Amino acid sequence: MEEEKKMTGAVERIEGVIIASGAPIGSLGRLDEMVLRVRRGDAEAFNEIMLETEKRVLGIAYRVLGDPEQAKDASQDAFLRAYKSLNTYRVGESFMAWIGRVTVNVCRDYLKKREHGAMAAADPNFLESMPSPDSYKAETTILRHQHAELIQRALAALTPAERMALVLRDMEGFSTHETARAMGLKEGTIRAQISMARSKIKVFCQRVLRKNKGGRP
Amino acid sequence: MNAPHVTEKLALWAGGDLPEGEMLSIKAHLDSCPACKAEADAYTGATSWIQTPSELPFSHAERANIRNEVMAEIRKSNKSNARRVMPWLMAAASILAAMLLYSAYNDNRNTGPSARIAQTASHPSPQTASPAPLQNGNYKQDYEQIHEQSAPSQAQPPIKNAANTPAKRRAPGYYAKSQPNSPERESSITRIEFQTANPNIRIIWFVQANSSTTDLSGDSNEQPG
Repeated sequence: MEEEKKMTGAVERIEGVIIASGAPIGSLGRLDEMVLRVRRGDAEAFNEIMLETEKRVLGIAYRVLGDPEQAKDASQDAFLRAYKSLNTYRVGESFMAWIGRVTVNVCRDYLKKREHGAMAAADPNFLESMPSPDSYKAETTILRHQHAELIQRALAALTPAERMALVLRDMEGFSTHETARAMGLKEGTIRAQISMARSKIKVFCQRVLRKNKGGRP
Repeated sequence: MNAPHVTEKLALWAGGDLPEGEMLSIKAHLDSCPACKAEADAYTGATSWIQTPSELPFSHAERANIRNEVMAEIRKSNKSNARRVMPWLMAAASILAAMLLYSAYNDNRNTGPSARIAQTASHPSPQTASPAPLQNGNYKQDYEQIHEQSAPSQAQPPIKNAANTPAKRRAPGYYAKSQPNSPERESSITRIEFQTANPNIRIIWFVQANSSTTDLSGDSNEQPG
C-alpha cells in the first residue's frame, strides 16, 4: 500500500520536476519523456514535441482564428510560449491538453488584437445571407477540402467564445472540464456556449447540407 | 405522451454533456416523442458532421518551416541567455581561483618556521584558532588592536591577510599604523590581478610573502588592461 502510494503519490518530485497527482511514475508518456529532456537542457527535444503536437496546435489555431496565415503565426507563438513556460507543465497531466490551453490563450490574444479579421465576430445575419442549398452541389460537399471549407463557414456563424468552446469540445476532443479550464470559465458557462454553438451548427447543416444529395447529415 | 418536450436539452444530449440520469430520461422520452426524436437526430447529425476530421490547409513544408523558425528562436534565446550568464561565471571562477591560490599560499606559509608567529600576528583564521570576539564591534579597530598587541614581541613583521582585508584597508596609510614600511617588505608584496570578462570588473590581490616561505613575487606580472 505504501509502495503503491509512492508510485502514484499526490505530488511527487523526480529530478526536480513536479509529477501530477495520481500519475504513475513508471509510465511517463513519450511526450513527458521529451519534456523532461528539454528541462534537462536538451532543447532539440522540443523539435520532437512539436512534431507530435503540431496538428493539434495548428488545428485549434486555424479553426479558432479562421485564417491560415494567422494560424501559422499563432502556432509559432504558441510553441515559443510553451517552450518558455514548460516548467509550469506538471508531468503526468495530459500534455496535449496543456499545449491546447497554451494555444487557446495565444489565439485569444490574436482575437483581441485584430479588429475585423476573417472571423472576428459572428455575423447575426450570417444564416439568412447564406446561399440557398441548391447553390451547393453534392459532389463539392463530399470533397475533403470543401468539407473543411464548409466547417470553416459554419464556425464563422459563431461568436469567438462559442467557436472556441465548440472547437475544443467537439473538434479537439477536450472534456467539458478541460474546455472550461482552457478558457478560464465555469463548466456551466461552457455548456451554455456549446449548446448555443451546436444549435447554430444544426441550423447551418439543415440549410446548407440536408437537401444536398450525398452531403451530410 | 404528455411529457414536456426536451428540445432545449437536445444540444447537450447530442454531445453527451448531460448527467447520466438525465441522458437516460431524455432517451426514454425520445422513444415516445417523434417531434423531439427528429430534432435529436438533427443535432446528432450536425454534431457528428462537425466532429468529422477535416483537412488542415498546411503542407508538410509549411509545418516544417514553423518548426524550424521556432527552433531558431529557441537557439537564439538560449545563446543570449548563455551570454548573459557567462561574465558572472567568469567572475565566480576568477574569485574561486584566487581563493585557491591564496589557500595554497597560506598552506605553504603555515609549514614554514615562522608560521606560528605570522599566524598570531595576522588575525586568526577559523581553521587554526577560534576567532577573537569583536571588542569594538568594528573589524578594522579590532584588527589593529590585535596587530598592535602582538607586533612588538615578534621578530618577523606580521603578514597581512590579504584575503580578509578589503581593498580600502590595504591603503598605505592603514599599514603605516601598525607596520612601518620598509623596502624589504615592499619588495615582497606580490600583486595578482584577474581580469574578468567584464572589463569593469578586475580582481586584484596583494599577497605578502614571508622570506622563509614560497615567494610568489617572481611571477608577478601585471596584465594589460
